[in-house]
Amino acid sequence: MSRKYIGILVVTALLFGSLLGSGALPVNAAIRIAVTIDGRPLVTDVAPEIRNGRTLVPFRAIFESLGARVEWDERTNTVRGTKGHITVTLPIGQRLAYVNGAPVNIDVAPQIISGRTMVPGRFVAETLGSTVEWNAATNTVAIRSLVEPRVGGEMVYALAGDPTTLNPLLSTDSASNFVISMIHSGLLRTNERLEIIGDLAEEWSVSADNLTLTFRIRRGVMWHDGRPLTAADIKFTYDTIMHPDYTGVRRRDFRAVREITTPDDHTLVMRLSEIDSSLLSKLFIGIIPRHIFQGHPVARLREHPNSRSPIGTGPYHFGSWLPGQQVVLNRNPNYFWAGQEPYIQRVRFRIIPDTQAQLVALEAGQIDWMGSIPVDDIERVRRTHAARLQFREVKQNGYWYIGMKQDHPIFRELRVRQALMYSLDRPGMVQTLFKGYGTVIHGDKPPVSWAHNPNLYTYPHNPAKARQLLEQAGWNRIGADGIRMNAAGQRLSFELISASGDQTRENMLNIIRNQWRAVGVDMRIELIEISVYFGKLDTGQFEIYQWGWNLGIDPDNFIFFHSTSGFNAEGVLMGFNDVGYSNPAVDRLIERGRATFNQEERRKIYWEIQEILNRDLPYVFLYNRNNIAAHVNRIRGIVWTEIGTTFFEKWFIDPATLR
Amino acid sequence: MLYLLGYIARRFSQMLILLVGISIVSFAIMHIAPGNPVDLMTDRLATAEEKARIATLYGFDQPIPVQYIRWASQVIQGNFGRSFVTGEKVLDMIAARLPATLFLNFLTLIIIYALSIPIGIISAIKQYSWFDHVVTFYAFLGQSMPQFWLALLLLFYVGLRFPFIQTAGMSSYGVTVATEGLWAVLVDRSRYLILPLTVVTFSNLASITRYMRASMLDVINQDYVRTAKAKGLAPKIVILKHAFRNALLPLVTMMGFELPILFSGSVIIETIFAWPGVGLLSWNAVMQRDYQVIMAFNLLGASMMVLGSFLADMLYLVVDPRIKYN
Repeated sequence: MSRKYIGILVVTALLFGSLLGSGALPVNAAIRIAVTIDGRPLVTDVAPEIRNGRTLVPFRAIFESLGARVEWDERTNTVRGTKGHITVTLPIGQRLAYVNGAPVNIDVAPQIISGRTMVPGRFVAETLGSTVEWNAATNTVAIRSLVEPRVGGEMVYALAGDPTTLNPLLSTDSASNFVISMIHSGLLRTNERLEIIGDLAEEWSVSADNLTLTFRIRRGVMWHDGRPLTAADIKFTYDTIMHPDYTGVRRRDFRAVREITTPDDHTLVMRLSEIDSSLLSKLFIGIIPRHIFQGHPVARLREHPNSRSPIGTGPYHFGSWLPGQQVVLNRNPNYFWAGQEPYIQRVRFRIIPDTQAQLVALEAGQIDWMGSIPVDDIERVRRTHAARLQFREVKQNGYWYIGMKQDHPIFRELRVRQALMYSLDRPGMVQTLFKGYGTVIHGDKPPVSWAHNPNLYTYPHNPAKARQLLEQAGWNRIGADGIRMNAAGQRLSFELISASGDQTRENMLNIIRNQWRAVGVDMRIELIEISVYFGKLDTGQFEIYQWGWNLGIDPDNFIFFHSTSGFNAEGVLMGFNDVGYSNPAVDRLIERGRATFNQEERRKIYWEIQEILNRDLPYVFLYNRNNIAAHVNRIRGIVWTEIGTTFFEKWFIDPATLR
Repeated sequence: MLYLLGYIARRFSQMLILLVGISIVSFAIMHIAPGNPVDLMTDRLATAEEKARIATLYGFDQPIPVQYIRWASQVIQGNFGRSFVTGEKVLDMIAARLPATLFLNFLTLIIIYALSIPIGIISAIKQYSWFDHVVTFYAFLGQSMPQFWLALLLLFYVGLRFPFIQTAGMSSYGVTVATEGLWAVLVDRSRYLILPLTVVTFSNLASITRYMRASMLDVINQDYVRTAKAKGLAPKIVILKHAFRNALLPLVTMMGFELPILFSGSVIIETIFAWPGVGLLSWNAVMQRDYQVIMAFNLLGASMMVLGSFLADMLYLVVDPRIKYN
């Protein structure tokens, strides 16, 4: 090699070396707990310490920095802090505290360490109305004091793509739904505990026969153009969905509705042709204004200008939309909900298609919120941006699974299906694929569902048991290639299909293939373009397939597991029961689950269904994946649910950062 | 002159026939390809009757030739229809995104030519020199390096490090000439331009540079250049006056072929830098079987292609007196 070339290589190496070198991370020194209050470090003469998993901090420092007055009663050996109308009393050495005189149990007793009285930081801070977050990556306790919200400021979200439409009746993608949820109100909604509450409906009642629902509509609700909302708007919205020319995906949600009437402007009556308790969760859909859409052909709803510059009744007005760049919403000062108008002045959705680019935008401070940090970056971002960002694990209301055709010569044998479960190390996969941010699933309800049954059999990873079951099922010979055969000489071999274009899924399927191969099962993987893939599922052209469900909050699973949701006599798939699962007991339970609005009764029914599905195994139940959301410190008052956020109107921007 | 006009008219009628042919072929391919908009519009549980009803509403129940004629007669009237996915007018959708694409591509072209021509010339004159090797190496590095990889590298190691550089989008919210003045707008736009411009330029520099180098090498070995040198002209004048202008000839005609490139967006650049161009729009249209949008892009691409080659022929006529039309 000539010297010239060596020179070029050196230049190149230097150029890229200098670019790459900056990625090196600082090595963590000895473990030391830091406490920050509103981003500023809490300075103490004695360092905070962890006892029994709780951080203890010097009492005077914590109380005073949270704006509380402190007293030390030597006679009773008691610390007392007062802020406003809250008084916290902590007797030293006792795992009992008093808040305004009422006793409260605490995990760790206040104690004297290095001559300083130390008290549990989280308990004190939360009692005084602050929020506390523990960042394990940086060993930091971040305390944020209670502040009065103020109107103003801006929040910037990232969306992966333009919303396809801002008409709630037609939207199917998450970008559209997210923006729409701020502009439109539904008849009902969920609160922070994911319970169904009224939104435009003030209250509702169900008739004794469960066939008539009567909603009282909130008074004084104004559309963003100033016109009053009435029950007629709600009837118009639902009638549009039930119209034969409607081209969206929600008609089936209203299949039980026979007739909607509006006896007066603030009453809506729904008469059902059959009882359907899952209907309530379908009434979250945004209501559209009748005075704007009336007379427009339903088939052309998508093309109405208002489907792209919508008028709703929600906390935010539609502002502007630059395709490929951003959607801007402004606060609605006339928002009706609970007399509470939104605080954040403007919400901007920036369109950034690439996840890595979103992450860079977050790290560079160009966006304020990212709903899902890529798994491989979570630890790094947590460490490097601990001072600027807050993190939260958001659970998935859904699960991934492998569907097995129930009448397939291999899978119709229960012991084979059990063996396929036992041979998989599902917790290990959650670790490998999602760095532990996920949950193994054993039935068809994720833990966030109110109908989740926590007592299901867990099918622990047990290859020996899997081998034994396969042998019992007749797959007792092992070929030269390590694959099992039955007496007839057939190999235990099949093809799995799934959709292409998702690296995580490919990795996952490769792990599954290897773990099955280890017990002598041969699986070939065929990844297909998604619309072709659905075509195959819907016509039953598969042996076994992998997919996932994102679920609504209602546990009704008729379309998944009721026998009439499978292929009918003409071979048309009637629901999503493409595996052809059929169990008369489950059918009956599913029907009963739909036929009552009583949640306790329904919970028992769905627990039983889960137990049967856990035994019958129509699916290899896998796991779900949780997201790590990140946002800048500036955003306060966020109302979290287990699966996301809600009540956006209660959020605010830290007043200290507002001009 | 009249002869020339006749030639142009003939070329235009050929172009028109070609475009009709292209549109028929692409229309047919699009409809034969698996998947259709009705399946994507309705939910997976829609019954055959429901799907048939929607197909009728949008005219998909007609035979493909009938659909084509219906589409073509609309297009002749300047109506490209509406997207099945968003309900917007197709022309509005393209018009909203084309400026970003043209802006980026036009600047890239200028920079590529501005860099390639001098680099190519120097490489040719100082063939096999240190400079030639370095430039050749980097030009090929740029061409062979995956664009997305370079883009991501820049995103993380440049975009994150310099606050001046914006990594996503093409302008800041609220920065307009009316509110902030022209200078602020120019600064703002360049903050967003740096990264995408760098990537596109770097990965496209090689071809023009190599072209220029080859063309220049070709010319400086010609007899007339040797003659010029022999009669004692200064090397600078020989290069700039005699060789350069002739070496430029093939390059000028290449500009015609840049026309379709000018109008095409890059999915990679638009994805990574959130550049709001037409690349992602056309990509998504294909993914969603959004027929009207797909056809509009096919027609746009085809028109620019035939127009570009026509332009290239015309440029030949202008710059090379040896070529005669007939």
